[in-house]
Amino acid sequence: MIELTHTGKNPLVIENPVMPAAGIFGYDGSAYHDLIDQAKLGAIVTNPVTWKPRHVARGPRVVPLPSGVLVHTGLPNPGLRRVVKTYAKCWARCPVPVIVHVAATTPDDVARCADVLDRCESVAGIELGLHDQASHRDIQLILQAAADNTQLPLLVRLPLFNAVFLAEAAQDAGAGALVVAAPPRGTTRDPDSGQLVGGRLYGPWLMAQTLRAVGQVAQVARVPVIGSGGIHSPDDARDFLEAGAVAVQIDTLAWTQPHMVEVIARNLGGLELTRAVGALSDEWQPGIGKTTLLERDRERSQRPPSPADDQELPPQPDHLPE
Amino acid sequence: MRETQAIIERVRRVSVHLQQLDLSIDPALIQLEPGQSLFARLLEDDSQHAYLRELWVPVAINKVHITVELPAGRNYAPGRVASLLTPVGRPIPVRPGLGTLLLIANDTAPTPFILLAQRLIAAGAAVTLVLSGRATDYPRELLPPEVEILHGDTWDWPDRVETINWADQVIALAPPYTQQDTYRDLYHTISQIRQQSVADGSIYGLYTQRLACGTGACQACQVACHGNNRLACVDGPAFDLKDIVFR
Repeated sequence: MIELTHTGKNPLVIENPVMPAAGIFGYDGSAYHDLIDQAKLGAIVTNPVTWKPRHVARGPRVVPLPSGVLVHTGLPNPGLRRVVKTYAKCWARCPVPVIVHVAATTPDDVARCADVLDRCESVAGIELGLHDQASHRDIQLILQAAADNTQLPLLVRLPLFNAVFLAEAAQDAGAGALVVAAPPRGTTRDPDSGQLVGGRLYGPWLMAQTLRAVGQVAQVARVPVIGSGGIHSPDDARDFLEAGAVAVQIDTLAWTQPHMVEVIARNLGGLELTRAVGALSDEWQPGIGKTTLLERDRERSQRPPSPADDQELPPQPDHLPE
Repeated sequence: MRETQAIIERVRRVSVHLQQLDLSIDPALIQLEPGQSLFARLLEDDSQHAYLRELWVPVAINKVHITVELPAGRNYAPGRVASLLTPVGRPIPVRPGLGTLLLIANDTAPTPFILLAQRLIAAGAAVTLVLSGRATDYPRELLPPEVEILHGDTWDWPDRVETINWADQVIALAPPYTQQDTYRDLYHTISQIRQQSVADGSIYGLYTQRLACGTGACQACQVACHGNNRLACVDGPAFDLKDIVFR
C-alpha cells in the first residue's frame, strides 16, 4: 500500500504506484477498457476539467515531432458539473481510486469545483493543474480555495521548469502531494497546414528533464512526490522511484503502446510473471515464478532416493571410441 | 477496440505520392467496414517520425489480407511487423436503398472512398467521384472502373447542378486544415442548388485527421456538433454536415 497524500483527513492510499497522467486516459478510462486492465493500476487520473465548458482548440491539434508529439487540445471539456453528472457512476464502478484533474483557472472556479467534487462520493482526490506562470501567491490562493471547500486529498501538478521553485509554496499551502511535472510547452510547425502550433510536448526525451526535477523536488518535499513525464518502460518508472517519487504517472505511452502501461504497472506492483533464469523450458509455464521453482528444487533434494538412483552406473570410458 | 499484429507482405509504389501495403492480418479484421481504419505503429521502429501511431486506411479487404494506402514519404519494408489498434471509427453511414452516390475529394487523395465505392458498386449503386485541386493527381487506375470520374476546380465541375440533384447522398473529403471551410461551403452550395432544406443524412463530410490516441481519450479530434460534441476517432470519420457547428 502506498500513501499517496499525507495531509488532510482522508489520505489517499493506492495499491500500485502506476497511474495514467491527466489528459491521457479520458474521464473514466473506458477508452482503454479493452486494452488495459484498470484493476492493475494504482489510480485513474481524469482528463483536465474546468468549471465552465471549454471548446476544442482551432487549427492543428496534434503535430508529430522527432521522437515525440506536440498536442494542443485547448482542454476541451463540458464543464465540471456535466462531467460529474456523466461519469460519477462510472467512477463508482472503477476498481481503483479516481483522481479528478481540475485545471486551476481562477480561485473562484477552483472553489466551485472542489465543492462539487467533495459531494461526489466516487472521487478519491483532486489534482490541481497550475498554469505555467503560476506564482507563490497564485498557489496559495488556489490551494486555499480548494481546501476551504473539500476534505478530499489535494495533489498539485507543478509546471516543469518552475517545479522546484513552486514545490515549497505548494506544500506550505496544504498540498497533499506534488506531481512533477506538467509537460512543458513548445511551438512547432505543422507539416500539413504550414501553421505554427503551440502546445504541450510529450515523448521519451522528456524523461531526463522530469527525472532531474523529481530528484530536486524530492530533496525539499515533505509530502509525497509523484513523477510524471516521458516514462516508456519499467526501468524508466523505477528511475523515478529511485529519484524519490512514491508513484509515477504514464503519459503518451498509453497512446502509442497501451499494453506497456499494464506491463509497467505489473512490474512495479510485483505482479509481473517472468521465466526464471536457468529454468528448463518444460518446467516453465505461465504463472510459475522463481519461488515455485525453488520449492520444487527443495522437494527434490528432500525426496528419498529411488532404487534406480542406488544402482551404480557402469564406469564411463575416458574417451569415447571414435 | 483490440490490439493485434500484422505483417507487411508487399509494398507497392502506386504513384509519386502514394504507396500501398499488403498486410497479413488477424482474420477478425476482415469485418472492417468502409470508414473504419487501422491505428498502426511499426514494432521496433527506429525512424525518427515513428512515435505516434498512424491512421492506415484500407482500400481492399479479403480473407487474409488488407491493403492500405499511405503517403509515399515513409519507407516500409516487407516482413516488418506492425501493432494495430482496431477499429478506429465507425462505418460511413449509407442511406438504405441508396441508388446514386456523389463523392467529392478536394485537395486530398480519395483513399477513404475506395472501399466504400467498391462495396456500393457491388450492391448495384451508381457512384460518381469528383476530384478537385490536388486530388486530380490521384491515379485513375486505382479507382474501381465503374466509378464515373469528374475533374474540376473547387466546387465547380462539369454538370455540377445535375450531379448534385442526381445524387441520393453526397460525401465529401478535404484535408484537415480546410475541412471546416470546405464543408461549410459545400453545405451551403448544395442547400442553394436543391432549393430546399437538406434532408438528414444526405450530405456527409469526412473528418479524417492526425490522431493522438485513436481511442477517444485525448479529445484532440473533437468535432463541434449541435447537442454533444463528437470525436472523429470514435464517432467519425463521417459526420452529417447538418449536425456540424460551423464557427
